[in-house]
Amino acid sequence: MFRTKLWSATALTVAAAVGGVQASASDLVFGRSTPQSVLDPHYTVQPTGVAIATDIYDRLVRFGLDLQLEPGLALSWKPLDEMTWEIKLRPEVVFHDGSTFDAADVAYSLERASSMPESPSPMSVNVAAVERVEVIDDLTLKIVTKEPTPLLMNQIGHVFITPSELGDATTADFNSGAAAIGTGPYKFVSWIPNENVEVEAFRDYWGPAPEWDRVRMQFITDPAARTAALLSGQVDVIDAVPPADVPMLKANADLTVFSAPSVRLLYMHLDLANDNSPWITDTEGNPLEVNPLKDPKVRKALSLMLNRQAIADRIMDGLAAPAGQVAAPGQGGFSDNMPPDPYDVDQARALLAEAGYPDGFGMTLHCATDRDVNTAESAQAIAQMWARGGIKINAVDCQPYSVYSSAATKGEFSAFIWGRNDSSPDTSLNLRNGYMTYDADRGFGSYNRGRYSNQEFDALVAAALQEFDQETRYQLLRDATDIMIGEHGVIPLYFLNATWATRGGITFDANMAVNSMIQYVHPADAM
Amino acid sequence: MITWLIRRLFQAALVLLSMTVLVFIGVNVIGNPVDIMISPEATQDVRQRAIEALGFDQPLWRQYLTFMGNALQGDIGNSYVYNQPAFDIILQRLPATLELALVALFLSVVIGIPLGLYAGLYPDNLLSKAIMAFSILGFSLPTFWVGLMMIMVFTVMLGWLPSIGRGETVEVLGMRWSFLTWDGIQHLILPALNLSLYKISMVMRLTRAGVRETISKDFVKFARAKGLSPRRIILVHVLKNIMIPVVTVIGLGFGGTIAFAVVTESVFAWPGMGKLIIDSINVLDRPMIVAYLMMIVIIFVTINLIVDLIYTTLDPRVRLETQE
Repeated sequence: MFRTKLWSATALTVAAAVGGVQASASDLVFGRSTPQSVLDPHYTVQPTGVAIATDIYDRLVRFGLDLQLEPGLALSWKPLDEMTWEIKLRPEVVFHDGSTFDAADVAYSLERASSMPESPSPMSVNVAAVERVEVIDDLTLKIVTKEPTPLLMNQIGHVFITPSELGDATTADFNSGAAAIGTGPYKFVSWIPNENVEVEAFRDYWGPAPEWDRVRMQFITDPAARTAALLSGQVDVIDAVPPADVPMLKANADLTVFSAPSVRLLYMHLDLANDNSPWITDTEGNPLEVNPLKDPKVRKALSLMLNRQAIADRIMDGLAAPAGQVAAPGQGGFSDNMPPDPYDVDQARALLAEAGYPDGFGMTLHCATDRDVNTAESAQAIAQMWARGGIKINAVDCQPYSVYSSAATKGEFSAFIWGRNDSSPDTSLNLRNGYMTYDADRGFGSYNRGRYSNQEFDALVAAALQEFDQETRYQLLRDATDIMIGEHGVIPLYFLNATWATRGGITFDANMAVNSMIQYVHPADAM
Repeated sequence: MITWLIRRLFQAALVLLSMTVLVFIGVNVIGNPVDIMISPEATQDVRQRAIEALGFDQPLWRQYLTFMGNALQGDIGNSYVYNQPAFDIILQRLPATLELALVALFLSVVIGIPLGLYAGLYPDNLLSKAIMAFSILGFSLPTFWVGLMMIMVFTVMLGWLPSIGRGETVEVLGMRWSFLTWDGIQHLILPALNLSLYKISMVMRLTRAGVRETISKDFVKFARAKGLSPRRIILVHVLKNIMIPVVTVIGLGFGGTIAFAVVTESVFAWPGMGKLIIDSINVLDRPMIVAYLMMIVIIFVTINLIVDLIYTTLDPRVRLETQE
């Protein structure tokens, strides 16, 4: 007979709920919204693959709370020339199985990450720029890239490092725990799919000592159930707190809420590709010959009609921040010239008249129902604000994401709300994929669904992508943003807050990148 | 009996086949999982390679033939999300759902039938009216709301019962079961009760209606005249006559419970397979959708089979040969 190693935590927490007995301070139960689908850290870049990996495995770099790179398993890195990088590794790091970390492990992990073709969201994204990896000595690597890649460390820095001794380990080997060996602060204990993952402190960790002896990550996908689990003391921390529950949790003296604006941006894509856009009509509902959205004045007018603060305060319960550009504050390439557009209906009407639409035009707005919190409600509010500004709203059509995203990618909408989280240190990849002129062959603008196109902007981003000097690169990105936002290539709406809640004085490092890492949870007595 | 069984199996195979065709066409109309799941940082090249590796660049008929070829050799394919054979994922989660559904079924029978019987025998009694009022609530209140209310009362306010997960489990026959430990039973109570509320009401009403109808029939009067004890009349003659609709409803409802226990499972973070189908559809995980629906078809066919067999024991007039 086999008993799961629950170390009677459930019993303990229930006891705590019933009799007020406090569980040992060094054990933690973390209620998480995202269940783990694989323990293989190289299979997917989806949160279902990497959310827990960040505590078990290390990477070459760490991503700080400000999104900037910090040394991880790599101590330092420098470009030898435009195509070659030298990476010095951290000495005296050991894996959970006791073996020593060296350059061969990095070479192995980068190779493994690129060899998972049958994944719909492959980790190979992060090693696509690597031509070859040369092991110079135990702690030195040389990486040759296919083209000048200033952001190499940001890309390969996402790859989790596993021991080269694993050889051709399969996903099943990782899932069983046999191959789930990293150098991170917590080592794998058990995984019950869809229910929980347990880890325990790794005492030989090279960094700050882990603050918890044992952690159980309990998957609770339903938001209300997550809140209830925290209220009843069955878990100590929850992530993705539903905005509607925040006031109630804040009012509870046992609980603490940690919230911060995240990099998750909601923005309005506008169809700039078609001359007669599918969902644009005249005020009578007849198709229009020209697409008014192609006129920057119309786009600016649409932006000025939006009261972003009201949406953030009323619809998002204050858990959102108005956005004026696609970069989050603090991210490289964030431009100080581009605050959110003010709410100015008069100016918007004047601009519409100037553009030749004094009576407005008709439009249908699309959004996804099941991707971000309250998007459909925001879409309704935006439609009403546009109606107030003189646009005739034919309909607001919100669909399930699987249907919506395919249609949006095919260019079947005219105005549609999209979400994007870019947690890289600067905006170059975001601008390249999202806003450069669509070019399938060169791989530019692959997510430019509205087909914004401006050659001056393209040239600036292309230059930034090749620029090794950080300050020069950031300046190029700022200039590019000023152009793109200046003519409203998209209409930024708001950044969502990321919110966590804890009980019993436990603290959490609320972070922009929306990482629910165990390393961000600190015991009450640590403060 | 044998021809009946063969015909049943043939029907089931046909349903399976048409289901796979429908899923293929349906998923293809929506799009492909690469566009939904791939990282926004991906270059066109990486995206194209993923699409090719998964075969989405092929025409649909060829994708389907490849799938059928593999399926006939027993390989439904790996889930795109879990990178594991899709059937393995389902079998991993089936015991949790099965356990929950069986306990709910048990509750609906042991609570529903006696209460329904009582309400049928004494329709004007105050208690009977209360039972009927309760059954209306059981029908009409949405499951997720009742589930959340149960959590609010029994977990958050009273602190009696846990509401998250399966608790401590014991492995029997390679599967984990909660009902063999006290901690596991505590974890089972709320979700099972939540799931069975609708069934309890249904069984109660069916039993009551059946009793009301049967009690005035000639054979009951005759049995009374013959001097049989009321206990024997009710427990043997009446009950046996009203069981056919009850068994049908319980049987088919059981299939539905297994297939779509998603609401209860997500409210109580129960690691069953209910949520699997929703998640899989959201990311167009085609092997998973196909495997899941195949499983459901098999479950429904099996349950129908069992229900038909129970009919014959309850009512000898029912012959399997005439059943379609």
